[in-house]
Amino acid sequence: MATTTLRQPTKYRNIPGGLDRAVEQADAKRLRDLFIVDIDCHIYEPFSSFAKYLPERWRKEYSDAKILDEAERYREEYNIFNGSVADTIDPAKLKLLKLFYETKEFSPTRAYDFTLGGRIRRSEVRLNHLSGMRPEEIVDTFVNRMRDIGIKRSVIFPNILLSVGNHPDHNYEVAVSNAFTDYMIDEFLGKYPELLTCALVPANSPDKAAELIDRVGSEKGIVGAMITAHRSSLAGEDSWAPVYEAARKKNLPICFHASESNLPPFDRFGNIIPFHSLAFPINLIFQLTSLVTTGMPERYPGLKFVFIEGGVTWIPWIMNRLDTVYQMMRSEAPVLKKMPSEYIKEFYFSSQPLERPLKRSSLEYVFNSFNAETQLMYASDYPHHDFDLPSVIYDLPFLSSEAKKNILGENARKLFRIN
Amino acid sequence: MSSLDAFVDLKPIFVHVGSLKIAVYKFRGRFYAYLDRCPHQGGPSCEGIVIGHVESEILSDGSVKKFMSTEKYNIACPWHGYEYDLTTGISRANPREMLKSYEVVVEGSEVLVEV
Repeated sequence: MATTTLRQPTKYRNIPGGLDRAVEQADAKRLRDLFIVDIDCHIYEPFSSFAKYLPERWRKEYSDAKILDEAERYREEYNIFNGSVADTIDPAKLKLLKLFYETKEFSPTRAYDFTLGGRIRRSEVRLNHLSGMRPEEIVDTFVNRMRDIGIKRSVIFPNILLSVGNHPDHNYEVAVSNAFTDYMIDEFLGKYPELLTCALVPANSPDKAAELIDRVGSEKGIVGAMITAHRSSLAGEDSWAPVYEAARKKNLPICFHASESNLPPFDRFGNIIPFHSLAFPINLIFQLTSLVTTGMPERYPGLKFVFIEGGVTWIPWIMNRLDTVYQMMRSEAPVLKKMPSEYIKEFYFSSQPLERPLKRSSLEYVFNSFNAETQLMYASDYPHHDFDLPSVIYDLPFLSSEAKKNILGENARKLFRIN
Repeated sequence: MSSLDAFVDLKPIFVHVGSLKIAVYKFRGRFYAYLDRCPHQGGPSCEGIVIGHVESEILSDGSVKKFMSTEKYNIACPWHGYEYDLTTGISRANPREMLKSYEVVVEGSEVLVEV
């Protein structure tokens, strides 16, 4: 097993565009005195990082006749992937590269430039999906650097694999979900208490998803079962029963992680603003609405649900909308014993990207509508382009110090049973 | 703070005054100085790029032509891409927000910032 050593911690690194300002904020606001949990941050994971955990057929399925043609097509990227033009072409690596490009078909990173023409610069983190982040970079970024800015625990999610639920081959989702989860367990969890993750669950194959939860759900550092929210199947379908049973048995929350996708209907927009504004919350709204209106909270009492990376201002809207329609059409959902909004108030939500309405006081209404003090959890989404520092919660004038502590870490500590 | 000759148009020179880090820009014979702190989340607003302001023109058929100005420039914060007018420090998207600015005085060949 590869060893990963921590870089010598240094608070200020003087990297242009880096996180030194965030470290200053942590100094000034004494954020390191708090127990801050970041429930959503990301690594960049090329297939090479977890390829050895993939089953043989995904690593070796290739014919000699195709190799040279494919290599030519991916020549430039293959050099980056492989490291040298002169190296013998490795069919397994080429296959992985092809898989990577197939996956990118369902990922928005091909469609839009999230550096905004170079305006956004993440100097402290390499953002190349292909070369990805090496284990020591992951440890340095999410242990050392996050500690510098006041974050004590980071729940890590993948990046390209956020769209894995859209892949038409469900076997693919099963294979990479297992492989990525095993990679995280072997390489990081247990060794670094600061690093946590959720089992990446292949929800398009509920029985296989349940097997994975059963297999890894008790591993140290596994704090939830993550389901990528953008997929054609919905959380209220009866076929998802094995997933819920398995998660409830392991006492793991189900965490829906939103993502963008260039699949319909979002492909209609030719502009990044509507694309980015809508896709995240709408993906979550689909799953949440399906869960509530099919009565899943009644059918699986005690199972917790978390909705990640949609912001918060949509929450009172869906509460009000469902309550209004339910009152007209109650007979369509007889399993519900209370109003939809009352179920939603028992769900959990991550804060990022926290909206910045022009009328800032409207955020207070939003927070009150879903009991943010107990149900909201801080997330950075670092290093993505719209990341949030802990100060977005810390500086909110309408929150008590108790509420800030809860949202910044205590809610997550309780829900995910973090030591 | 610095010599006139050291300046290249649109490229900031940084000066530290106590705990303050201030960026000084020269553009077409004039100087502009801003605190290197973004009003959004406190990021290093002046450590990214200076980029032409993207403008638009509504054409006679109702369509929109977008183009990048060569007359107006923006300071783009590297954390989240917020853009501020180089000559005023005012946010391009939300004029209620701005970078903190300082007076720049040129005395002979010396460029000084009033803090």
